[in-house]
Amino acid sequence: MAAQYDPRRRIEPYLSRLFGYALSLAQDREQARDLVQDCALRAFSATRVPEDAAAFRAWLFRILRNAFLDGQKHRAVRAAAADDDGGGPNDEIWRGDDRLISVLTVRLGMAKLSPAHREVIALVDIGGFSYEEAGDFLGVPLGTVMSRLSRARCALLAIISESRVQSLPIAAKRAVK
Amino acid sequence: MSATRPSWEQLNAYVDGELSVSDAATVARALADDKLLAEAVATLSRLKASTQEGIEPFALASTRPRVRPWRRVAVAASVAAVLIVATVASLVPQMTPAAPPAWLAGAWQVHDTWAQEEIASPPAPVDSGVVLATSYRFGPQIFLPDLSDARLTLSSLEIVALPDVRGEALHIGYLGNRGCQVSLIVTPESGDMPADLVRYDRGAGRGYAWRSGEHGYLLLAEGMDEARLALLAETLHRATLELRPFDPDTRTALRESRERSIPCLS
Repeated sequence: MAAQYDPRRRIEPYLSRLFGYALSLAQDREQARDLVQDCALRAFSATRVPEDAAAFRAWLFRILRNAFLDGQKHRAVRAAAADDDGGGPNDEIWRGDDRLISVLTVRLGMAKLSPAHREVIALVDIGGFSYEEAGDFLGVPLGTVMSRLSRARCALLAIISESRVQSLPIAAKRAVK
Repeated sequence: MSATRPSWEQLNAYVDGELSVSDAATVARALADDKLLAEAVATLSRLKASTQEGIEPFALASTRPRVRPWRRVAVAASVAAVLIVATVASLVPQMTPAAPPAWLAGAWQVHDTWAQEEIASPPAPVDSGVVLATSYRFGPQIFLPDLSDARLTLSSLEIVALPDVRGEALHIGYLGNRGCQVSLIVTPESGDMPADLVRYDRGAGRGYAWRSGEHGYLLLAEGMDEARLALLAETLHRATLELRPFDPDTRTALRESRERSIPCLS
């Protein structure tokens, strides 16, 4: 006999990751919270639910993404995604100061990334998607995920590193008397 | 994979565990021979870890289904935790306001000026470089708290003049989405800042001051829910002493305190 579907129990392990993903899409905590709530309600009322854990996770993330896109301008998000896949070769190794990387600077840096870059990082690092799963989710080839993700991380590292230099020189670290 | 130096894309895939066994072995050999590559992988690993560490706990706010017997213990524990937090929070507002020291007027002036400017012009996101560079200026032990659990967003960071303290101080401005404006002012020397948490009143304004290590701290807000501000003060006081991020219980308490609080706009 098939196990009875307990929506809350199945969704709970994914809530934090869904919230992280929602935050990366919306860049607004209230909206992200609403998106997760909306996603959960839609999942609760669904009549057909994937059995497989990976498919279930992708299904939840897709519900959330659709909920976000419902309230957004689809074209803007998709155009940004297309733009991010362009550009020159991506074989340069990023070099910088690791000490600058922290939860806070990553969070602030993520806010400055393009929506497509934010999303691919969120899917892989927050959502736990494999490249193949992220490709299926986004409807792009695996190679595009690989390329987009590496560019996104490069951009994030550049934001974390460059902003420090441009905004306030480290020479200002004199002792304040 | 070619025998040439691994590309940035391949290093990313290596960190993500997306390479085949043979390709991963090839990258691993390259890392052993190339310090720059190894550093790049360390950087990527740290970036990935920091992204994952930033994942916040989330609980649904919708109506709960009937409580099952096996959940009762957990619910009881949660209620107990809330009561403990509420008890701690309730202790702080009972603190007797202290007589205002000379430097407090200057601190309120900094807060008032910032608050008025924030109303006049919409806030811009704080640049991470400013956060880091400013913290360098004040030394490595400064604490720049992330109050997003309390729904307060870092909106301003600047060096300000504070004549009655030591000339300069770091002002960190936080904005809520219900009208709350909270200032955290950090002075480079603790001087005559109170050793423990002390409350100062100014009409509807509440200020808390304390010192930690070499630095003095001031938390100021006008018209904010007293219990919420008191919990923030208590939390920041403890965090600046321990110099550690908030633990999960504290983060939950901050979120719940905000949800229970009266909006600053009311």
